[in-house]
Amino acid sequence: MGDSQLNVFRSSLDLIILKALSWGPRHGYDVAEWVERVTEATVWLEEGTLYPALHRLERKGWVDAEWGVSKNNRRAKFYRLTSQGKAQLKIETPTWLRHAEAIARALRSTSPELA
Amino acid sequence: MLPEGFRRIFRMPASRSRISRDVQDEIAFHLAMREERLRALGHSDADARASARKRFGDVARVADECQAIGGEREQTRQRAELLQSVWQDLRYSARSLAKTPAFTAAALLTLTLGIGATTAVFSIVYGVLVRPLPYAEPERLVQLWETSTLTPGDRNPVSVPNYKDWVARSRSFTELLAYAYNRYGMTGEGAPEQVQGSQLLGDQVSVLGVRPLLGSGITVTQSREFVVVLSEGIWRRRFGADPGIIGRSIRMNAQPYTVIGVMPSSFQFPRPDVELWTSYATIFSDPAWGEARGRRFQRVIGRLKNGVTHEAARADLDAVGRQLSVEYPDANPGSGAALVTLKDQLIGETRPALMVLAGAVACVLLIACANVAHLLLARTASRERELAIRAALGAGRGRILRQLLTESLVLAAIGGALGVVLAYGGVELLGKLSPEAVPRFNDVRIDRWAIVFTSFAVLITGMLVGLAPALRGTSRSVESSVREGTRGAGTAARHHRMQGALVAAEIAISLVLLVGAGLLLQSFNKLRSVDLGVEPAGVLTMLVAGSPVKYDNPDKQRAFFASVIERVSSLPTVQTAGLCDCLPPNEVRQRGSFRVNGGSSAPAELPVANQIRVGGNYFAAVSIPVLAGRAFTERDRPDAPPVAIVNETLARRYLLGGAGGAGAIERRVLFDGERWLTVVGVVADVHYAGAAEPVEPAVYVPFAQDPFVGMYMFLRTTGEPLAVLPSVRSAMLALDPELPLSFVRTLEAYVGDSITQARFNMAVVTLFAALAFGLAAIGIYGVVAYGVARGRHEMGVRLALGAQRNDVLRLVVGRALRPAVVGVVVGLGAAVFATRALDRLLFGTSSRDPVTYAAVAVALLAVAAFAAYLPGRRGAAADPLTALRSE
Repeated sequence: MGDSQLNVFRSSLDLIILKALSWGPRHGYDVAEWVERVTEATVWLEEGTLYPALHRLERKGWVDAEWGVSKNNRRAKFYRLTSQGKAQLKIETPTWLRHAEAIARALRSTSPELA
Repeated sequence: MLPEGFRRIFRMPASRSRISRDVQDEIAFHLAMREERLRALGHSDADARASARKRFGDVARVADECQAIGGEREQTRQRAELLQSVWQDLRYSARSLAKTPAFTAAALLTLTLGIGATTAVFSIVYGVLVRPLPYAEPERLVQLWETSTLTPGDRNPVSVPNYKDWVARSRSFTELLAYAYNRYGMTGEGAPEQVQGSQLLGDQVSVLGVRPLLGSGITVTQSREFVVVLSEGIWRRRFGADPGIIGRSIRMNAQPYTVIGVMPSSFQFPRPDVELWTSYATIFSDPAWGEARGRRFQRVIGRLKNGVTHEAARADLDAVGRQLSVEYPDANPGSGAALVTLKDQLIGETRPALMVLAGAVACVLLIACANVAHLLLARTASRERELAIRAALGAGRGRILRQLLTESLVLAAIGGALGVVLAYGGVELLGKLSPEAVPRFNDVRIDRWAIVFTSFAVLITGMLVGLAPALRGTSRSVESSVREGTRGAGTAARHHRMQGALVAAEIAISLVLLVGAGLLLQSFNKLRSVDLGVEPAGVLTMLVAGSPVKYDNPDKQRAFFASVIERVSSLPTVQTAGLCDCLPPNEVRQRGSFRVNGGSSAPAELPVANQIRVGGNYFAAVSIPVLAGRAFTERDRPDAPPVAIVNETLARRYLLGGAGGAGAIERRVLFDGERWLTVVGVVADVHYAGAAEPVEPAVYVPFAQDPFVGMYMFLRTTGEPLAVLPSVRSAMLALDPELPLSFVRTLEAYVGDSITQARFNMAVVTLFAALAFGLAAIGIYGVVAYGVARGRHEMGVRLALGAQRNDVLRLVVGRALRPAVVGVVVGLGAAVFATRALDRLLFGTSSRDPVTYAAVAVALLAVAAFAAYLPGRRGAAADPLTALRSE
């Protein structure tokens, strides 16, 4: 992956993670499961990529992490959106949607006409 | 979920290993969950494990990346936390200082005085002793003097021919510059005005390396032309900063000069009062000045070639001197040279005085620190409960230490900021009151070096005053503090030891300062009460400098000054008028050897005397009594036999004059090696070379027999001397419209000037000593009062057990005096060493003067006893029951 591709990829991944946490605290595995399900596993090639992304979000102060207990009674690290993270999600979502739709429209277009 | 700040509250460390373990756990959990899910979908155990790993990717790389991010996050968090805790400490300090305004005000006042005085003295010492001169590569500039076996001193001026030989034959200098001082009467546009100038032989610009503002400087090639370079000051003041001044002709001493340049105001050579520089045209027009090898009047500076040492340069000039001794044995016996850096020459004798000043102000700062440390100690003691509670709530010792130090640093920083303002004001004030007390005073200012210095002073002061209380405040165990309350008996003892040591130190330091001040005060009084030999009250003095062109021969000069005396004598408020070319108590023009009829004639053994010409009724005007014979009269005309009057010292020492000097009358002395003079009178001694110097032998000659063009005039007036000035001025202008009157002052003002330096030393050290003494007295009182308040319980017990009030009082005062006695003993020892620095500043006073030491020691003990007695009496007078119940 080139640099620009990586940046686009990273920021889109960040946004998807924020979205995954928008329904409440989740541990990393749940985030991975949700992301794979909704994106049909197209966002990443390897699940491991998720964790540095989560830690970067934590450093930026968009998510908080604390250890807790999972549903099947294991010790797990839970991530939770901070108010900053929530705000970020709210700002970024419409921008991304507009961009993505524009790109999709352009790529699907069949007409060479200017007007 | 843990709340924010949880980790800090419970002091959970986030070490590198913990971060790594967390990352490992997190990844392990993910893999385990994935395997479980795959097994649920029917994969075998081995297959599930392999597949989970494959889907995850490179476990080690992901773990590394996560750890790195975690480490960064932890660092940021710690930094923010530190910043926050410092901010917290600052806010807490500000709050707690604001809560005790009396304490804060007292501590700030003390610190402001201490740091302010220190900053002011630093900026003076730095500006005078350290700051480089405002010339290019100033360390290469040296002042040169000629040495000779003719004269006892090693700092003789240089004659023009000798200087020319130095220039031609020496190899150590890139450039030499000779100069002399001269006063110029400026006429033409504006009022006639007398200004100080300097005549230069050499290249003004290249020696000193300061570029002219306009035009050029004086150069060797123009040394015989009438050219002048103006200072920026006079160019602005007298010529309205005319940019077209170059090439203009101006009249000075009735002679047209061409302006060739203007120097910037930073160029203050050789002295700040010099306002213009001319060539050597007037000097070269008179062979007696320009060509006589014996006429030593020039000062010389040189710029050393790169890498040439002072020793090498002196050896070089000494070699030239040896050649000159051989070539001109009469004029140059034993000729050699002395070198001193230009800066040392300018600083002169001020260095010891400034070092004393610096020492004195350091003492003041130390005492200020001790006092504030007292205050903080007392405050810490009364806050023991608060500190104990903070410790119980989990604040570590280091944390509390940091908080207490923050408080003292905040105090010191505010004190420092106020101190800089104080120092600025102090330096300004000194500049207004007495700038001549310090050479190079215009190089003194509160600049970034002073600020750097003050910041250090603040840091050290903050630590000094805060450390003892902070260590005390954190040294106690939590439970004993909480249990004992605020008046633990064990604490009190330790507290007293520390405060006792502080009191002893304060007393010792104040004693040193007070002894120093006492010695300087005595010395100053002795200097002031020196009988100068003249009665300065009611005498007005001025320089009457006729134009050397207009009055170019002895007859014109005689006639001119005769009419000057005649006109001023006829003024109603002038009682007597006299002329003299010297100005007591500090200005002597020339010294020369003389020979007594029948005495030795070998040149090396000839005695030296001040040579003074006087006219009018000089002796009567300044009230010098004639002890024997007569004063000069009208009869001592140029065609009459040459006569002289000698002072008592000369008469007694060389003419066997006996008491009153009557035996000296009619003896003959050979003057200047060519004129035999008959002594017609003996007058009382007068100090011409400074009040601190012994009176030298003096020979007075009548003006009429040895006229000159510029003389000081002395007018004894009835009433206020300066009131006579307007009528004198108009009388002079009527006589000669181009005649400037300058240096118009009362003789009392000159006498005052002569002790300026001594007065400055005395005043500043006394001021500092008073400050230190006041601070120390307050400190002692505070400590004792506090000790008595704490010991009231003990007093109550003693009184209840039947002790007499007086016994208790004696006990309290005695206990308080113990550190004072220790301080006095230590201080006396220290003073013996420290006052050695004063030796060079004292006049007629020994730095070991036992009376001063004893008086200061007794005074300090008395003050300490009184400071202890007041609170002690209050304590002893209290009802024992009340004292006991208050516990």
